[in-house]
Order: sequence, then structure tokens, then C-alpha cells
Amino acid sequence: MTTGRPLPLPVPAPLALPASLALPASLALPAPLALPASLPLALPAPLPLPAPAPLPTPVPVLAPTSSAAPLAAPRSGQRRVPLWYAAVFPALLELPDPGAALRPLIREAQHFTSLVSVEAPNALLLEIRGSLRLFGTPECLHERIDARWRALGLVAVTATAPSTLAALWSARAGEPVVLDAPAALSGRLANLPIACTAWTEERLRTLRALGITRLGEVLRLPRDGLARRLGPTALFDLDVALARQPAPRRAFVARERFRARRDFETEIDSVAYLEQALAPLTLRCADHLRGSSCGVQSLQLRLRHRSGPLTRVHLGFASITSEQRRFTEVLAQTLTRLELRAPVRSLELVSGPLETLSAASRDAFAGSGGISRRDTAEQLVERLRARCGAQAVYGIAPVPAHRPEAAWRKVCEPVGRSGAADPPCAAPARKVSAPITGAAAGGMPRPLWLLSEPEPLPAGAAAAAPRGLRLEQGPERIESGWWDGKGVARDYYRARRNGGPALWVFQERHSRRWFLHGLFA
Amino acid sequence: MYAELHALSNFSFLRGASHPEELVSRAKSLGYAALAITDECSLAGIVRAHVAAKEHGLKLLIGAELRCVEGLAVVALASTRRGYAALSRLLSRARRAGMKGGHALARADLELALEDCLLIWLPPPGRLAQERAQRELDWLRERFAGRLWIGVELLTGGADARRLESLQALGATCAVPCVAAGDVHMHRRARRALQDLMTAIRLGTTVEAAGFALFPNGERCLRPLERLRELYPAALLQATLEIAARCRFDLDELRYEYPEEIVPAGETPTTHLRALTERGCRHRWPAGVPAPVREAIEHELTMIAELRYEPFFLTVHDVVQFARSQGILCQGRGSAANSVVCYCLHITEVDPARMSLLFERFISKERNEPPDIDVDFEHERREEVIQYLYRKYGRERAALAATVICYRPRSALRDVGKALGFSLDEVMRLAGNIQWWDGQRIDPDRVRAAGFEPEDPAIARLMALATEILGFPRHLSQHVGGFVIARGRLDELVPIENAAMPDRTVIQWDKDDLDALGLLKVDVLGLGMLSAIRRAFQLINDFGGRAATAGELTLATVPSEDPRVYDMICRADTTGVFQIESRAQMAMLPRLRPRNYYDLVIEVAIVRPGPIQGEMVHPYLRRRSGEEPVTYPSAAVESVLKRTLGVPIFQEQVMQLAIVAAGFTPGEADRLRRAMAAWKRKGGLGSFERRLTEGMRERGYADSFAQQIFNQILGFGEYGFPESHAASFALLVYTSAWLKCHEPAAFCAALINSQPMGFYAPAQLVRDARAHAVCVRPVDVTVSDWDCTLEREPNGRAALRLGLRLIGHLSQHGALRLLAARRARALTSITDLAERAALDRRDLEALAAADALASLAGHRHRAVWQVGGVEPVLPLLPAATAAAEGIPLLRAPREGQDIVADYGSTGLTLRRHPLALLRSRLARRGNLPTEALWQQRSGRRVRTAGLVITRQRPGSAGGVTFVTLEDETGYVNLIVWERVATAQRAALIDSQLLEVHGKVQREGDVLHVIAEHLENLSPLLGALVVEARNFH
Repeated sequence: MTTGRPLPLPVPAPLALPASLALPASLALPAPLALPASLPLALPAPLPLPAPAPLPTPVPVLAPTSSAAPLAAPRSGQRRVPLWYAAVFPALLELPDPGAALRPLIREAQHFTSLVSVEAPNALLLEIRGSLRLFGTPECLHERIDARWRALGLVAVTATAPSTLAALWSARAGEPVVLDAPAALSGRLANLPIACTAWTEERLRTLRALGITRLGEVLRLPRDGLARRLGPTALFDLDVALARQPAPRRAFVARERFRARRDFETEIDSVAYLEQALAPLTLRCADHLRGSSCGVQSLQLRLRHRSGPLTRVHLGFASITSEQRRFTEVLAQTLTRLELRAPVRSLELVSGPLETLSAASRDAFAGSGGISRRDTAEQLVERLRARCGAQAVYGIAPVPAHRPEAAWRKVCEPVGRSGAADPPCAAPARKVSAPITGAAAGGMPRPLWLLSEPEPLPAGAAAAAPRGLRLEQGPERIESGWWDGKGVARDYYRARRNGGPALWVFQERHSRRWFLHGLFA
Repeated sequence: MYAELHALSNFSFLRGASHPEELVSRAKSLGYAALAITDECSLAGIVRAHVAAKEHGLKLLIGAELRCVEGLAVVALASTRRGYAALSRLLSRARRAGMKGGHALARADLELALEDCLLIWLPPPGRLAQERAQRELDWLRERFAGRLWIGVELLTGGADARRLESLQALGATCAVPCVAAGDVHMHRRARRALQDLMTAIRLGTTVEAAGFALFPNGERCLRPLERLRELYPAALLQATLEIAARCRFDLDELRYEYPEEIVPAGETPTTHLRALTERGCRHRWPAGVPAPVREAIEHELTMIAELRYEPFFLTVHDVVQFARSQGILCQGRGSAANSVVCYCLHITEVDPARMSLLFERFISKERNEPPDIDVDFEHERREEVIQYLYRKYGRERAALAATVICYRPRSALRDVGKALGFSLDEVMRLAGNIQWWDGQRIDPDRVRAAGFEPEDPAIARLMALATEILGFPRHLSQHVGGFVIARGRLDELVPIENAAMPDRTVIQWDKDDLDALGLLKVDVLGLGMLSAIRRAFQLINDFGGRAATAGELTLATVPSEDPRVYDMICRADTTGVFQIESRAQMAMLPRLRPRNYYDLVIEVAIVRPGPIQGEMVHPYLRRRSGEEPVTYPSAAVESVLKRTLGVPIFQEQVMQLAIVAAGFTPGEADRLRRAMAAWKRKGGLGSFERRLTEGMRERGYADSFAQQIFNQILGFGEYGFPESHAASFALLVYTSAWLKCHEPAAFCAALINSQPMGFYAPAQLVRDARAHAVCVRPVDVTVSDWDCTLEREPNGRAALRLGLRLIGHLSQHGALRLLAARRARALTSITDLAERAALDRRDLEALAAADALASLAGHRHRAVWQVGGVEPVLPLLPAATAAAEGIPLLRAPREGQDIVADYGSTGLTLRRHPLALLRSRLARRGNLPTEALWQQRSGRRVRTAGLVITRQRPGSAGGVTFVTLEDETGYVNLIVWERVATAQRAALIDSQLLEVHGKVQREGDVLHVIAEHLENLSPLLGALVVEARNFH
């Protein structure tokens, strides 16, 4: 598909993909993409995202005025030394997703200041200078915020200092300091252990090899020598900590949409793989929605290519939903029709505006006209299943196995998305026998009709054949299936009762008993 | 009657589901006239089948299943030696053309390559595509007419009658006879599950998902004759016998194909061996050969000539000669090595005068066993010897033997589990819980510990199948040093295939196979202690200072039977000494109190799983100390057991006992020896047990004696130690003990320079040397060499200077450039060093971390600072000396910091022991120093703690784990019973610093602590990392 050839059809079913999405190298595209001129552009119409909805804010003292991040840089005119309050929540590290656990705490923090910044993985930084007007002295405010955590039953180590890093480092080191004057910083920092910087292990190792354990010893070292050994960023950090260097922070803005992105080392050129690759994103989206008790009515998928514009795929839902299953179903349908313009380098899933999920909207089939936009077979199956239970409606597919009863299976997905669609049939006792040529190639033909349970036959006189039956062909010996506790050992024959239809019978090897297992049409 | 002509063994890896021996014995019991083993492009299982066939009296045909890339498949059977050669050559070509373990065969390869082979065409499976079948058959008929058959394999697939009919019709049109065959994959139908499983493993899927790749039924087994008669027309069965009759090749014909060039022109092997022996005699006994020795030589030479074993001795002599010319230390061992002839040929240094060597013990006419000579070389120079062999005989004639890699519990569980559909996670959990010490079986308790229920049907199935697959060959790997040398082309003797290492090839047979066929093989093995001894000799000889009369120190000139050496050994002061440095050996030494060379031979052999499990150790000790009278049940037994006080200790003694006391023939005794080695894997000693008890009873021995001997045989199992090996090892024991006793600095340096080897890490070796008043000096960039070296102390004695090789993360290239720079001019500063030696940052940091820069830069912290300031040298900007920096105020390291850093870099410290710093904290916890344990009564409850130096779980010790702890005052050995080990597995496995609560157990000079409770105190060590060595 890199050259002028027409695009291949989407692969019908996703191949088994390793769970981690390290894609096989074979997916890499050898040459830059060239879009064939003759290509019909069958892309879904790119839909612009709806305008951002107003943010359902809590009751912040100073609400964010726009989604543009306010910076804590000195405002024009007066130079104000910022004052930072840092809170580290040690317990969050035990959680699988500390970031998620931090989110509600941000909302709490926003009661005290508009400028709340997240320090991954488990700390918050609050610029509180501006809030002092409302809350009094730094000590007072510091204590009020601390009290808030206590009230929530949280353990937080906190510190207040005139620089972000001084506050953060002190908090990490468990130094409950409240400090307003930059001049006192170097004295207070000197005693902190170097580990509180959270510098890279390599840098800390270098320091330890020099016998250095406290920040004061670092500060004593010559600047140029230090830069040579630790790299310039270490100096920058130290300067920030000592408030010699401003360090603007970006304030946290609550997300009103879900947005997640995934980059690939290897480009993806198959829709089938796309579907696989999307699964973690839809899962995260669903989790996020569930966590915030919200749903969406649309999703947008943005596919980035090496060059050229994004491909946008719009996914609309009949109702507000947060179910991953519905996301993937619609995705699957939509992707089937998608023709990739070029291989995909990364994909992004962006939700429409989050909307509160009402009880009514959870019922996909509620209402009269809700579902009738496209009444396809799939949707029919969907509805039948919803009505009769998922188990009652299924398709069948042949399975390569020697045991006749194991040689077919029920399938949930309507069969033949690519080939002829078999009508789903609701009689489990019957099955259409798979074309047998592949299995016992060169063996006996197998009947089209298989009994759900083999039916015992009366033994004949000589036990060489069941009574009244003439064996026409066989035996075909089948001994298999020991692994699931339902092993068989049988000799199958084609048999006939004088003039009657051909029967498929077998003799059990151990009991020597005869059974009828099928009828030849 | 019937001969099966198409049978795959489990050497068709992951296809055949039965051992070749099983197929042979089953074929015999079913009354088959003959059996062909026809593995897929392989003869790897053929020797085992051959041995079994001889034993059962079944005719064995040798062949292979050949599948061409074009789809053509045939079975080729060798009818003569020529046919065998052709087949072997063809298999080699196909194997060499494929990937490791695979093969690639084209139809064109078959042409011209299969003279003297009979071919059975395997028609494509399924409904016969007439046209294609006709084409294949025509192609074959044009080339192999008269020795071509159509293989008719009726496997109850439902259309047998039709297939038989169409193949017979095809045969009639083309005038090619049909023959019955069975496509056998297993010896019994009961292997069906295992066969399915192997298919799934081979395809990397589960049995459930394998679908039609599985066989539909179990018909591919050796079927009873009456069933075959039902299935096949008589003519087709008769044809199998005709084919079998035409195959006249027997593997035994391969015997005596020795290389020729080891004998100079005009000589025969016999005359040449005699000449070499005589020359050696004059060298060994310049004053004239003593009469008994002369007699022995004559006797040995006669016997060697009778058995035509000269080429063995000459070949080994040639290899040893080469090694000596290169200054590579080597020593032979094995059944034939401890002969006077080998002593004369300088293959071994064991003076026959030192022990009564009975040549017949090692080599006997009746036993028909090829002599066994292994030669140990310095482990680091073995490759030179291997290359010499390749050069001398060419790669077409010399190759390494294979090692058959078999399923072991862990791999069996992993593969079977995956094939049964267990998740990867579950399989890892199961396999991960089978630790290195769980031996050769799958323990239900371990399965339970992994969180599975052994009674669950799926788990039970997994366990049963995993047990069944244990010991199945999985692939061929290369043997460490078993060389086979052929007279002609090796690939006409045995197929050669690619090994994993590039440019290495390996034959399809392993050592046992070569042994069984009596083929010439030489074991070129590597032995670390030989490297260490050679290095010690060199250090001592270079250092000088030995009495001028003593001359140069060599294996032959080490003064023998020095009482001071034996005194040291009796004290168990043997850290670093070959073989007797292990915990078990050290515990034995004060009890056995060796006083001469033969005592060492016994010491080496007695502390082995064999004698221990056979319960021979205590009787021997009691008899030696006079607590128990030395008695023999008969004079015949006395002749065998006299030198070991009536207790059988060596493998040879057990075999001789079977001969003299139970009436075994030497051949039977030899089979017993082989069975002994294999019974753990295969079982099958039952018949020997009956034979032994009955034979002894007939000769008037008590049943209890017979039972005792049999138990000893069981105990020997795979670990039986032959006296011949012990004799050679004892010599190295004595030599290394002598070095330790008289030249401790050189000995320690040599051991460190030969690492990795032995039982102890450099830290313990250095500690031991210092305890023996050796002055050990730290690594110093201004004086240290790569290796440890000797320096002269003011008093003239040797001091040990640690070498740069001990520094972790220092590259050898960097170190060599450093040494070159230093040779040119003394190093003046770190900048000077970095510049002239072009050291990168990593090497410099490694040197600083090791405190090796102290003489250039002061204490460690300063060194690290300075090294950090060195700018990388840019080739285009020479002498761009970094702007001179001042050295900031850096605190000197505290003692603890230095110790941690020492361990982190060199794995040892010359400062105080780390536990000395923790002593007060340990004492507060009630821990005694190990030294103080000696003041405790036996049975007293104590607490002690130490660094874990070794953990050992010998298979013979009934689940006991031995742990050695070290503190600043010494060592203590713990005995951890299985119950305690299981209950406190984590502490046992994970601890670096281990605290133990337990009971003191003292027996004479041996002290143990029987552990009752273990506590992991590693956090006390902080950043200190001590790595224990684990043995099993």
C-alpha cells in the first residue's frame, strides 16, 4: 500500500497480537508513503470537536478563568516572591495509579489557591502567596491546608518555602518547615539528605562516591566542578531551590474531556492491528468515565501519519454511554469501513464533552427510535441477545479437532464478516458438518447431521456389528481428547439398516458398545 | 512374522514418544523379527538401540526417515557398511545445510548418495493424488530400482482398504513391490497422550489448539502381530522380512577404526608404543627400572596389544606431548591412566610405587571396554589443545561428542504446562518453584507451595505427563571436551551437525554412545586447579629464593609425602586446596586424618554422594580408628577390599565384588556399572539385584551382606567415583596442599588469578592467606599488575600484591593500556594516567572506586572527584589539559564507607571485617562471634550471625542445606534440615547477613550449628553487597 497499488481490504479478524503492543517488525513500512492519486477518499468526514463545555468547577477561592495555564511568573509591575506549599502523600505510592488518586486532592487544594501544580507521582505544589490576603500569615495558611488533609484522613508531609524545590525537597525529607525569607534557604537546605532531590540514581551514586550525603556538602562544592560532574541541570535545580532562579510552574487544569494518546515504534498499516492497539485506550476512557460518573455521546479517533493531515474518525453513540463494550463495538464497525490513507504512527482518542450519566441513558434500548438508525444483522443479533440472553444466540464455526463433538464451536460474533454470512441458528443439537477434507484427509466422509449425544445401539449377535446394521465402510479409529477429561477411543463406521439412510456409528474401544452418532443426508 | 521398518524414537525430537530401548524391548516381546530405527534425518538414538538390541537378541536395522523439501519422503536403510557411510554422509550434509537442530534435504541430494541403502517410499498421506504419487515413484524407480519398495502404512484412518488397493495398483503398474510399515512413533499405545503433547510442544501450541496436527489415533505404536495380520495381506508382511534379511550391517563393525598417523612410518602401533614406553622408563628411572615395574610394563603392554588398544595410548600421548611442549599443565585420569605405561608416557604423574596399581582393575580382556583416559588441562588453555586436535586430524576427522540435553523437572513442567494450556504465568510459577536443589523429581509439596492443588485433574495430568517426559532427549548440545577421532571421514562414521557456537560442529552421538561402540575418544577437559598450580609454580620460580638445590618446581619435583603438609590437612586447614576444601571434606579431614598419599585417594573418593548414601563412611572411619575390627566375609572379598579396610569405597571395588562374590562375569559387571550410572534416570536395576543376592547366597554370603552391597550400588548411582580418578585427583590435592603449606602467598595469588574456580571467592582466599601471615597489599595503580603478583618483603618473604583483575567494571583493555603507559614512564597524576593510557570515564571511575588511585590522588573521595573532572581525550586536540581545578574540601571516607566501597568494587577488603563494625549491634541481639562458639558445650542453644559465604544442597544429603557463615573471627557451618529450610526458605535464600538460632554440635575438631530459626539481617549491612556461592 505504499505504492500505487489499491489499498487492500481490511483484514477480517485481528490476528493474535502480543499483549504489549510491540508490533512485529514486519509491520514497518519500507518506503515513504505516496498517496495514490486514483484513490477514492473514503474517509469518514472529519468532525470538528464541539466547543468546550463549561467546566463544572467546585467552589474555588479563585477559579481558573480560562484553560490557558496561568504562570506563576512575576506579574508585570511589582516583583513578588512566590511562596510555595508542598504536600507529599507517601501512601499514594502504594497505589497502582497515584495520579488518579491525586486528582480529587487537586480539587481540594484548589480551595486555597488557583495555582496548584502536580509533581508526579505523589506530590502537589501550591502557590499561596496570593492567598495570604484571605488566609493571613504563611504559618496560618500552611496549618489550614495541613488541617484539610488531616480532616480527609490523609497523611501528608508538607513544607512551605519561597521556592518550589525548597518546599518540595523539605517535604520529601520530612522537614516540616515554614519559611518565607529566601535568604534563610541555604541554611535550611544544607541539612537535607541528597536523596530528597529525587535526582537520577546515577547522579546520586556519583555524589555518594564523593562521600556526600547532605545538600550542604553539595552547595560547598565549586560550581564549575559540580557542573562538570553532575551536569548543568543539577546546578539549575540548586539555583531554583535557593530561589536564585525563577521556576514557573504550570497550573493544573481539570480535564473536561478524556484524551489519551498512544505512539508506536513501528507504523501500523493494518486496520486489524489498529483495533487491537485501541483497546487499552478505550479501556482507559471507560475507566475514566466510570470514575467520574460521566458518559459521552461521541468519541473522536485521531490517527497521525508520518506526513499529511490527521485522519479523524468520528464515533457516535445512540445514547450517552461509558461502556467499553459499546466503544469497541462501534469502533470495530467503523474501522471495518475505514481505509487507511497511510500507515499510522500514533493514535489519540479524544472524547466528546463529558456528560453526567443518567439512569435512563444507561439503557441502550430505551425509547422507541433510539436504535433504528441502521438496523443491521449485527444490531439484530445485539437486540436478540439483549432480549433472550447472550447464550441463546450464537453462530457456529468448524474447529480442527479429531473428536466429532469437539469439531465445531459456538461463536458469539456473527459469522462471516468477510465471507458469506451464515444465518445464526438456534438449535444447538444440530450442526452443519465442517468440510471434512482437511481433517481426516483421505478418510471416510462425515455426516452432515450429528446427534447431540451418541445414542446407544443394541449389540448384534457377533458383537461385530450392531443389530440389524450392515457396516459399509470403516473403521476410522479416533482416539483423542484426553486432555480435557473427555477423551474418546472409538472405531467409526458408515452403516446402513436395510435400505434405510446411511448412518454413522461407532464402537467404543474399551466397552465394545455401539452407538449411533450421525446421519448421512 | 514381521519386521518393523519405519519407527521413530524420541531422538526424532518432539516427534517420537519412546526411548529407542523401549522400542527394541517392545518389538522383541511382541515377537518381531527385526526393528529398524529410522529417526528423522538422524542416527542419534541408534547406538542405544544397538546396545538394547544386542541385549535382547533382536535384529536391529539402521536407517533414517528422509523428507525432502520437495515433499518426497522415504525411509533409507543401510544394508552394508558402505550403505551406512553413505547414509551418514547424506544426513551430515542435510544437517549442516540446516539451522542448528534442523536440516534441509533436497531431492537432488538423494541421487548418487545412497548406494547400498534400501529405500521405502512413503507415499503422501491422505487420498492418493494419483499423478503426484506416480511422479514421485517414477523418479525413485529410475534411481533405486531393485532396492525400492512402496511403504504401505495402514493406520485405521477410515479408508485403509482404498489406500491399500490404490498403492498395490500403483506398485503393479510400476513393478515396485509393496511392503508393510507402521510409521511407529511410540512403543505402546499408552504413550499416545505424550505423543500428542510433543506435537503441541513442537508446534508451540496447546494440545487443544493443535487440532489436526495431532494424530487421530494411537495406531502409530508397535502393534501386535495378530493385529498386523488382520490389516495387511501376507505378502506385504513377508516383504518386511526380505528387506530385513538384506540389511547385513551391524554397528559393531565400526570398532577399531583408529587413526593411522599416530604411528611413524615403519613402525606398528605395538612397536611404537613400546619404544615410547622404554624411552619414558629411562627418564623415570634413570638408575634402572625396578624388577616389579619391569614386570608390570611387560604385562600391560601384552594386554594392550591383545586388545589392540595401542592407538588410545598413542593418541593421548600425542596430545599430552603437545601440551607439555606448550607449557600447558595437564594430567590424565581414568581407568587406563593409572598404569605404569601412562606414567612412562608422562600422561600422569602418579608414581606406581606410591600405590599398588592393579592394571587389571582398569582394563580387562573380558570386559571388552575401551580404556578410559581423560586428560585435564589448564582450564584457560584447553582451547589451544582443541585447536591442535583440529589441526592435526582435520575437521573432517575430529569433532566433539554431543551431549544429549534431556528434559529435567523445570523444563518438563514448563513445556508440558504450556502445551496443556496453562497460562505462562502459571507455568512460570510452577517451574520457578522447582529450585536447583529439588533433585530429579517433581515434588507434590512444591506444587502445592506454588499455589496449585496436586489432586486437581488438570494438575495431576500435568504432573503425570511431566514425569513421563523427564529424561526425554530434547536436543543435542556439545560435550565439554569429548573428542572423537576417526580413521577416515568422520561423517561416514556418524552424522555431524551444527552446534550452537558458530563454526563448531558436533556429532550425533554422546560419550556413552562412543563408549558403547568402543570408538576412540579422548576427553580434553579443563581443570581450574591445573591453571592455578601452573601459575603458582611460575610465581615461585620467578620469585626465586628457593634453595638452589631444589631446582625448578614442577609437578614432578614437588617433594612428596611431606609430614607438615599432612599435619595441615589433618587440621582441615585446607581453604583453596583442590577437592578437600569443601565444607563436607573439611569436616571429614580431622576424622580421617590422612597421613599418606593413598589416604588422600580415599579421602577424595569417600566424601562423595555415592559412599555417603551407601553408608560406607562411618564403617570405614570406625575401622580406621580401631573402634571396629576389620573383618572380611571371605578371602575373596578380602582381596578386593583389603586396601579400604573391608569397606567398598570405589566403583571398581563394587564391580569386583559382583564378580568374586556373586559370580558375575566381567561383562555383566560392566553392564552393572552402566546401569548404575543410569538407574536414577531409567531404573532397571531390579534384575541385577536378584542376580546379586542369589549369586551371593549361593556362595554362602549372608543376605544382609548382599543387601548392603546392593544398597551401595544404588548409592553410587551416578556419583560413583572410580579409584583411578581419585588417584589422579589425590596427586593434585597433595600438590596444592603442599603449595598452600609452603608457598601461601604464591598459592593465594595463583588461585585468584585463575578465578572463577573452586569453592571460595577471593575474599575468603585473601582472608585465609592473611591468617597464615601472608602480607597482602592493596590494589594500587602505580604498582599492581593485571594479575596478583608477589613482592619482596623486607625480611625476604613473599608478599601478595592484589591485581587490577579484582576491580569490578575495569576493562581488561583499559588495564593493559594503563600497564603499558606505566612501563613507559611512572604515572604522576590522574590526568597523566587518563591521558597516556587513554582511559575512559568508566575505567577511571572503576579505579577510583577500588581505591587504587590512592597514591596519585589521596583518599577515595578525592580520587572520585578528580576522576570526575577528567575530560574525554579528543584525538584531534591532544594535550587539551582540563583547566586546572582546585580540589574542594571533601571528607575522608569513614571506615564503614571504605569497607562498603571495597566490597562493591573488589569483593573484598583489607580493612576490618564488616561485621567488626556491627559487632556491638549483633551482641545486643545476643549473637556470639563464631570464635566464641568453640567455648560452648555441644547441645547448647546459641545465636550467631555472619555473612553467607556458601550455600550447598548436595543431592545425597537428604534435603539438608549446608550454609557457611563468616564473621570477623572465623567461619561457622550451619546444618539446615529440610523442615527448617522449607519453613524459612526466604531467609535461607535471600540473606546476605544471616542470623541463626540453633544448637551447637561438636564432634572432636568439627563444629556445626544446627539451625532452628533463621533471620535475615541483611538490612544492617546497608549498601554492602556480598555474593554467596551456591553449590549443589
